[in-house]
Amino acid sequence: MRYALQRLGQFILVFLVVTFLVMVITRIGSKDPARDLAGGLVAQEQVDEVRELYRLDEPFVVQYGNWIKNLVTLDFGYSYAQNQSVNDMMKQRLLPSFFIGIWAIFIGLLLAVPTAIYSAYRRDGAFDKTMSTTSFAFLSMPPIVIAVLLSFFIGVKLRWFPVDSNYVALWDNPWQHFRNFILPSFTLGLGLSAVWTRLLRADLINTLQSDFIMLARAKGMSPRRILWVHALRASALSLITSIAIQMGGLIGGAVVAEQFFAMPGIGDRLVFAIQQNDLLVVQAITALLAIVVVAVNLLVDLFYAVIDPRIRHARAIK
Amino acid sequence: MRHRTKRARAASTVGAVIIAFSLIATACGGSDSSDSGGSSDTTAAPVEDVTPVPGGTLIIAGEAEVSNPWTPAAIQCDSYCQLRARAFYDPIAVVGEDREVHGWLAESITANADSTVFTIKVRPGISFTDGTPVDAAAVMYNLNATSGGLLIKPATKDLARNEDGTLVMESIDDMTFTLATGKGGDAASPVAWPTFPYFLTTQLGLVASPKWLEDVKAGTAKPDQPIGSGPFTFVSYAPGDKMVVKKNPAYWMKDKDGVQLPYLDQIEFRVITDSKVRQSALESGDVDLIATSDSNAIKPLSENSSFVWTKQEEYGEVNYLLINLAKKGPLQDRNVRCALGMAVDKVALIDATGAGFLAPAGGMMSPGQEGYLEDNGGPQFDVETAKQMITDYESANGDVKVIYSTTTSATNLLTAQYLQTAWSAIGVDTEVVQIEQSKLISNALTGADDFEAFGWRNHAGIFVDQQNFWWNGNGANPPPQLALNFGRLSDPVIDDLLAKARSEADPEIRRGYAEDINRQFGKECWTLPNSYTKWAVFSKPEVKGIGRTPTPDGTSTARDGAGFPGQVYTHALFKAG
Amino acid sequence: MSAITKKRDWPTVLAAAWLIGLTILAFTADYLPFIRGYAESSPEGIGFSKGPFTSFLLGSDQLGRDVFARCIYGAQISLRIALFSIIIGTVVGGTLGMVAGFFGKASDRAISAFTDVMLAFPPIVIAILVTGRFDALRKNSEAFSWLSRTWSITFVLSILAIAPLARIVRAQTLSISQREFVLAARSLGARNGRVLVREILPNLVPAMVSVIFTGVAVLLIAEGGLAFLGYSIELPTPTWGRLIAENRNFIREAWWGTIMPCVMLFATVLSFNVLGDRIARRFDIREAAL
Repeated sequence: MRYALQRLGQFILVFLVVTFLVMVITRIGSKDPARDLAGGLVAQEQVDEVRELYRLDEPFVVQYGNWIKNLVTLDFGYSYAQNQSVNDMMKQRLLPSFFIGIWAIFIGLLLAVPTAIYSAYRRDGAFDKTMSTTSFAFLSMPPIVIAVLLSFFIGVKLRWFPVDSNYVALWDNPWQHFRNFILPSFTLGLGLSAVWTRLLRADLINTLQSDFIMLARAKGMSPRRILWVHALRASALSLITSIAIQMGGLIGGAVVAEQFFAMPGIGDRLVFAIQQNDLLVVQAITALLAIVVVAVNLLVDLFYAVIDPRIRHARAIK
Repeated sequence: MRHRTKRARAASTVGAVIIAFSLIATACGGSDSSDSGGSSDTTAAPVEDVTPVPGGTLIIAGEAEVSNPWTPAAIQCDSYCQLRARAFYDPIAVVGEDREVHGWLAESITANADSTVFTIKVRPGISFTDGTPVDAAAVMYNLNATSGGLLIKPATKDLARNEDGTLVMESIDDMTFTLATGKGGDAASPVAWPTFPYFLTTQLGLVASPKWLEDVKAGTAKPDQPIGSGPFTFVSYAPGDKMVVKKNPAYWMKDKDGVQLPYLDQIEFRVITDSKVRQSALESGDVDLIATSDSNAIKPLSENSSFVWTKQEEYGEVNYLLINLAKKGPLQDRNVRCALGMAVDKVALIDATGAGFLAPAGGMMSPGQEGYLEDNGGPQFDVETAKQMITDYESANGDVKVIYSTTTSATNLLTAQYLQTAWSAIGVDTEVVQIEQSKLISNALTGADDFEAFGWRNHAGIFVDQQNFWWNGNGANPPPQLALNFGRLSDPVIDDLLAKARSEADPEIRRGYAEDINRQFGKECWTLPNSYTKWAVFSKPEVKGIGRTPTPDGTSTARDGAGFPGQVYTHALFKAG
Repeated sequence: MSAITKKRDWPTVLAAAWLIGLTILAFTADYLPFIRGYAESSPEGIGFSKGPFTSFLLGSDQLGRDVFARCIYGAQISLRIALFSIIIGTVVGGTLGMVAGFFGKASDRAISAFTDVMLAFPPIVIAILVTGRFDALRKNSEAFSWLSRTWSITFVLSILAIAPLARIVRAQTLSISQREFVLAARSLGARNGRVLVREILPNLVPAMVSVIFTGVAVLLIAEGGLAFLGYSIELPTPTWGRLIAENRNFIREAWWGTIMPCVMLFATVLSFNVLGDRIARRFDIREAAL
């Protein structure tokens, strides 16, 4: 419990530092933040209005405090470049990005787990060797390369899936949802599966040599049960940690995938907002993404603490 | 299905792409039988008489999204915006296939003897979708609101205004009112403006519900949820993604058989900025109709016989280099500008960036426009002379460096690189900056510091009068004041000709003025035109009714893309077979 | 060394050969007749007219430039930036990591907090944000007119490399610090600085080399992503990411424009990964996920 509170406190601290830094960064090099925000096309009075509304001439700390205060009421400000409140924009665009991420993780796991298990089981066999090379290859393929190849061969040549992805909610039309998300999610999922295959395989090999596995074998338990239930459970931790570690890269990949496959998510809006100097949107989205990364890490840490008593106690002793 | 296989021979194109602010409808005035290629370029659909099938959803994909509110005063209306806006707004008038102005919401528009006062009679029996009536008061409200907008005001400079800035309009009865002209807004000096009614077919003529406009001002309604009187009503809008509209069940227009328009139940307007992705979307059947101006997409699609190719190649935009004449620097020197033009082989440029599909531009007016000349006397490809001119300039004034800005599309990137190479061959260092489209426009509007030379596309239209506010010196507000005359061009010769052209009723004489303006551009190298744009609408064969929307008086059909190529009217579209 | 018959490690040999060959080509490009000049636009190949293995080695692109030549010039700049960034990242991050791992307690807590914050930012997001802001900075202020895209991107990539490197070095330092020879040195009375430089640093080197190789691979990928999103070096310098992004629209008519740079990028990243992996295995370093 103490551990949880400690970590939560750390989380909040990191959140504050990160969001403050984001705000500072978005103001670098800006001659007139009010004009940047209001867009080029407006009269001076409107620019002044914007400046007053967001207190842009006051010191950073005050502006930041204002932003945090508004955050509580979920008021992220208004995007003049898009003529809608940032809140509305987020509502429209969060789900597609979320789905890309979730499906990418899902595909990654779907590919990695069976592959790793079989590779660890039949270590150094033909399957293992081939998979090892393949996963190395996918590891080395940048998302844009995978995207180019996938979109060309599957999207353009075979026409199986649309190259211009449209967001269809899972609950509206599962088949269309699947069709639209598969290319972008696969692009990211392949890279993830490569990382996880290697990780899981190494970890499984380690686990398979431990005593309790030998005991299970001695007791006559079937290999399948040993692999899928006991060994996997032991190695699940490092897998979960890896998911947390990969979040940052996954988000970056999602931004590229959204642009590439024209999926209307927030990554695409972020790029647009950066180009447009739409400072509030940039602040809001970057803060949100950073939070996701930190939150996932926090959850994993807490999860660890729950299942591994040593961690809890180690803190207590210190 | 009909498709045109003949295309222009290799011509250079600067694929420089910028949104055309074509605020003006083009209409062919008078008996202009000298329209080159009038019959090979048409926006009328084939004359197969298929019985319209009501119902269905159409998915349209368009090129660009300038995120806007949808209030007519504030929209930066490019062609895709016009396509969408005319689905839920009705304009006061439209340009017909016969290139005349036909009243739409207006039953009639009559000018007095010297075209200084216009009497507009609004068609009775029409309401906005929120129930409020379309009457003279509503139209007057809109005209005041829109003509006061930042972007439209310059175009309406010569309309008489009261002291409070509103237009001088007098209502004669519930449905009729008059509108007066006045030089620079002065009611005491009326301006003869024979082609003014064509302005009512443009953004100026879009009519939204005054009640909604008032609510937006008060903050109780959202500016991106428009209410008009058009064939479709607004359902949803996600900027950068898509807009959905559905059939207006109480729309006032009927087709010639008395069937109520529109036929479609719903339209989904998607934004796909990448033209190749848009092409793929059509080819894979994800969308039903696309509008594009990218020759790299038009070429393969035009060769694909499974799609209907509707050309819009007249009265289109010119791809040119827009130069900021207000910024101190080498570009203020005529020789430097002309040298930059001489360094470019337009034909090679078009081959490299436009798949050889476009026609090289010999002037600032595209084919069909008043003032079109095959060669306006501007700079010809001549690298040696260009090099000499630059060297001469540099020996007196130091190095010539240019900042060239363009949008982020792949074609523009290519053009930028081509120009960079061509200009470095004559000794000019170029820095290429790629900026997102709407930011580029606002940079031009405000005359931003790094706005020196833009790869630009603009000036669709029929009459030279429609370009008046782009080129008129009285609109050359120095930066950082906003100016629609982006280049801050102020040439007394051109100003004089523009004023004459505005008030000239005789088309032949007017054409003479327009051609002179074109020649002046060539002489001074105020801009450097490279090619004429070609737009195309590609659709699945089952999409019918393109170009078949009738005008309310029944004498013609509404001409698609009149002044803003890439637009089609959606009233008569339906899906069959 | 270990076995009587040693099987030749093909992947490593190939990887090393590729990298060495590429580096030589990249840095002598200006002197080689079959590369120099081919990166300029030429009327002959205009409009993707020539495919691979014709008068243009890997085909010509839209403006008539040889794709092969552009790839080699791209190698020059991409490699230079990636190497430079990772070295800076290693020096700074490595130092931080060593301090944190060796001295522990307060310095460790401070540095760990710092790396936590840095790692909370999704890398590509920060990359485009900071690059974008640097663009604005350059435009708006005289003092920063030297801040060209090349510098911006190098700077950003270096910053992004610091935190992961600090973490890895910290972990390595921690494990090395527990080893006997360090204890021995300390019990002999060696001062901290001496221990750091004499005992710890030399043992860090193999890990560092492995991480540098893998790091270059990651940065090359990152640069590719940035170029795709539009944040690349100023024109007309080619980088692989830009080549891929530029030509991908023409993949149907001229697949070589995009596929060739893709292959080059892939081969190079793969080679770096292979070498980094081999070095790590050779020196028995625990895999630390970057």
